[in-house]
Amino acid sequence: MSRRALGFIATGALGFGLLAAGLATNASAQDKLVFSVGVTQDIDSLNVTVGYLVIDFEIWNLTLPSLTDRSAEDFSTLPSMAESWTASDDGLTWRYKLREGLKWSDGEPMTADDVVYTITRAVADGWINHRSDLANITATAIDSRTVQVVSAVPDPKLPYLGSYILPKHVYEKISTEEMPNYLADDNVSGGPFQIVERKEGEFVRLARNPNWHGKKPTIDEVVFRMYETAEAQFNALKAGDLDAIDDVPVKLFASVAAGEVENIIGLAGNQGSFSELAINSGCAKGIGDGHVALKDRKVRQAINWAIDRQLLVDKILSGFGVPAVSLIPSANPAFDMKISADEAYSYDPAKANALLDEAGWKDSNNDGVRDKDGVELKLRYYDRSTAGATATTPFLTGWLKDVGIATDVKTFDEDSLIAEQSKSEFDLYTWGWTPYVDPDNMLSYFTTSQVPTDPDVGGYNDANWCNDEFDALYLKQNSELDPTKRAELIQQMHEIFFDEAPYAVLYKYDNLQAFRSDRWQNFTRQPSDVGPVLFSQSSPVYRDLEPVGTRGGSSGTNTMIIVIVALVVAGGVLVALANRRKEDPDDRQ
Amino acid sequence: MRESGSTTVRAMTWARRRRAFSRVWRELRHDRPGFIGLLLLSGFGLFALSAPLIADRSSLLAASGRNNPDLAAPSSKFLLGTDEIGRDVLAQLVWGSRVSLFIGLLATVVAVVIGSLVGLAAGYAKGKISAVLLAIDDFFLVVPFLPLAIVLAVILGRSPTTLAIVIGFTSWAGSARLIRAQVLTLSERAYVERARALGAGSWHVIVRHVLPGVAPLIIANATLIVPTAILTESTLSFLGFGDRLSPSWGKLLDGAQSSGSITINAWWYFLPPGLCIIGIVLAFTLLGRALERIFDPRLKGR
Repeated sequence: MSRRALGFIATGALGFGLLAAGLATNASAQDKLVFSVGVTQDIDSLNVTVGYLVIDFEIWNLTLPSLTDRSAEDFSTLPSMAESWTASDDGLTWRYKLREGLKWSDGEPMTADDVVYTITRAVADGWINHRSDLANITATAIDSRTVQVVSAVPDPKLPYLGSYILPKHVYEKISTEEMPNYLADDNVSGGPFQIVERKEGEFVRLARNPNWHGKKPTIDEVVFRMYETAEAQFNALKAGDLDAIDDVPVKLFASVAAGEVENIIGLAGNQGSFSELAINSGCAKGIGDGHVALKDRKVRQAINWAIDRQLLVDKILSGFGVPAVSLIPSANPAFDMKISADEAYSYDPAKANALLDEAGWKDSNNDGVRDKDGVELKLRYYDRSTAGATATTPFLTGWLKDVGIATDVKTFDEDSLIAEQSKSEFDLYTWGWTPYVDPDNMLSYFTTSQVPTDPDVGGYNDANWCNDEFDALYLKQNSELDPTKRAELIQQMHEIFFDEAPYAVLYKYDNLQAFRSDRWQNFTRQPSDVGPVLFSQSSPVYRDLEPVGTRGGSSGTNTMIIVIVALVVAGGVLVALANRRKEDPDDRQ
Repeated sequence: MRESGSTTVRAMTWARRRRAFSRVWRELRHDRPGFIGLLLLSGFGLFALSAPLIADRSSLLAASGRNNPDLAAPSSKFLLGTDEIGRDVLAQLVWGSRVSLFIGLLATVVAVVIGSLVGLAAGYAKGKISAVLLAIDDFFLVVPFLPLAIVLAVILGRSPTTLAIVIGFTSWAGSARLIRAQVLTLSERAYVERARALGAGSWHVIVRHVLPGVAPLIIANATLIVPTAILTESTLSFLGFGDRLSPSWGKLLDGAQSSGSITINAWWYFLPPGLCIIGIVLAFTLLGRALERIFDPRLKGR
């Protein structure tokens, strides 16, 4: 061994020793109970009027209060800010009584004023995440602890009112024009936790909110750490740097589920999350430049018949999911489309070809791509750079090519992709949704009112699709109090959506999450037994988590071991160096 | 006497070139690292050419793994096992060698053409033109290379051809410098001055006298750009900025990493592309260094 190599090892060991020493001081300084969650999705915006990613919702669930909550067991309505409520005889007027002594994290009182202010402003400014819940609602304050809510139509969602309530004393200073650009860095919280530190693209740290009215969480802090890749995140969990992760790569999850990884448990939870290929259907009332062929329902149906959903489930999800042919409107599977297997879209390229022929798209110039009136059937295919989403692209583009549809694939990060969607300037694009409990929101996204008409504002209708019949049925189910009748109306909406095919819905997938079982217990799932632990509808797990055994004991021992090992290695190398000098002095040139 | 022919200027030139070539070949044969590099490179060339014999192109399709087990270890059916969606890894490796080589070579051509033009111009033309060209060159030398390549790849798209152009466009600065230096020394040589004195124009001097003088340097330098270009392509693909639909070696590594194969130790998925990248980079580097030694006698004996 030459001298340089030895020197390198010695320096390396010294560095390692210093690093370990650093870790040790760090561990002794922090006596807090911290729950670290790894995520591969960065926050889009903490501003509840514009954010749309699952991670955003998780943080709002922890920091923003609402009148009512959902139970972890079965989503039933629970008191939260409101301790009780009463309804008028016609069911249109509800009175919510707030708890006594509610306070925001900055000490300001939390009153009926905050609730009325939020509801009124959300309706007036059309806040995207409040729109569906509050569409028909007006609110007034009877006194500082009583809110009266009047619904213009009978509302099947009431008395549940889960819209995030914002602190009036912060938001009244922000004008409607400034609102979309507001960074929500006030850190005023009304939930169980409050944001104390955030580094964009790196982490968000939340500490327990002392003014929270509900059950006091055992943990002191929650940290969400952003990771570039799901594998890096998994290895951080294995190494003990993280306590929980979402989005475990399926093959790794399979090994965790088989019990092959020590101290880690995997939980596959389902809450109706699904993936789809959105098809720009060219709504006449919208904007954009979708391919002319996609305005034809037959072409959109053909795309649906060209896809082998079962193979996607087998290969991409390793079976942790099921094929789906219509949107999944609710975390509750009772609202899924009921359709027999022989009617549902299945892998049938012959049928796809027949439909495309029927629509007049034929390969007249024999270049392998269909065309009509001189226009080639070549589609812009926009891909999301998130790991799971990209896996479907080679499959889908291959199957489309098989039926004579060429694709031009471009990959975007989520923000840039949404920017394209807000202009409706795409032909096909991959995305996915996690629905709420009530089907109303998800259904509302496909009404004409959500079709983007202004690129700066955008809209949730990302298929740029509109249908009057669907709109009418939406309004009908929205005010139908009889659950059976409402379910029937929703099935009719499914039939239209299926037939019109603005989406090629691919599958409903499980959220694959993994946890350090040697450190934590009480992994509350929502709903119980089948739902996810992280990124659930109302995030109850952070209030329920309990540490296993004594606090931080194991990590201290680990650090000690690292220090000892480092010292031994460093010592050994020094000895080796010294010996080498004695043995052959000639070697030291 | 004209009909003897062998003494025409053209024939003499060709004879000289033949002699020069055989000298290079002789020296290369005796330069052990260079010869090993050449052998390795021929091996990779054969590997790439034999792709259709080893695996059908259709086994690159995502759905081709339909009836295969996922992440299966090497077996007689799949010599290098399967990837996370059941595709044959060997098929992707062998077809991927074409993509990686294509991108590496095309990027090098782009880099060498830009580098030579800028180098020649900056070395020959003095004054303002030279200063401006050098400033541009300096910019490309100091600008962080990977972020620039990523930005360009995102803007221009991700087909293998555009990737090659992007890589070439971001890696010419070093060779321009090198070539300029050589041009500066050459243009001071007596024979160049003599040519000028005889009334040769700039174009004639550059094409007839300077370019032949720097050509060996350009060749040696190009051989050294190829491995960098291949590495860059692999890096971009590994980071997810490559062409998702072409099976380059970097793409294979990206697939292995994002599917978690490294953690569950599916070595047949990430080891072969990794070794191939190392192998081809080594081959080009050995050959390039050897050519440098041969063309530049000052490096001999070092």
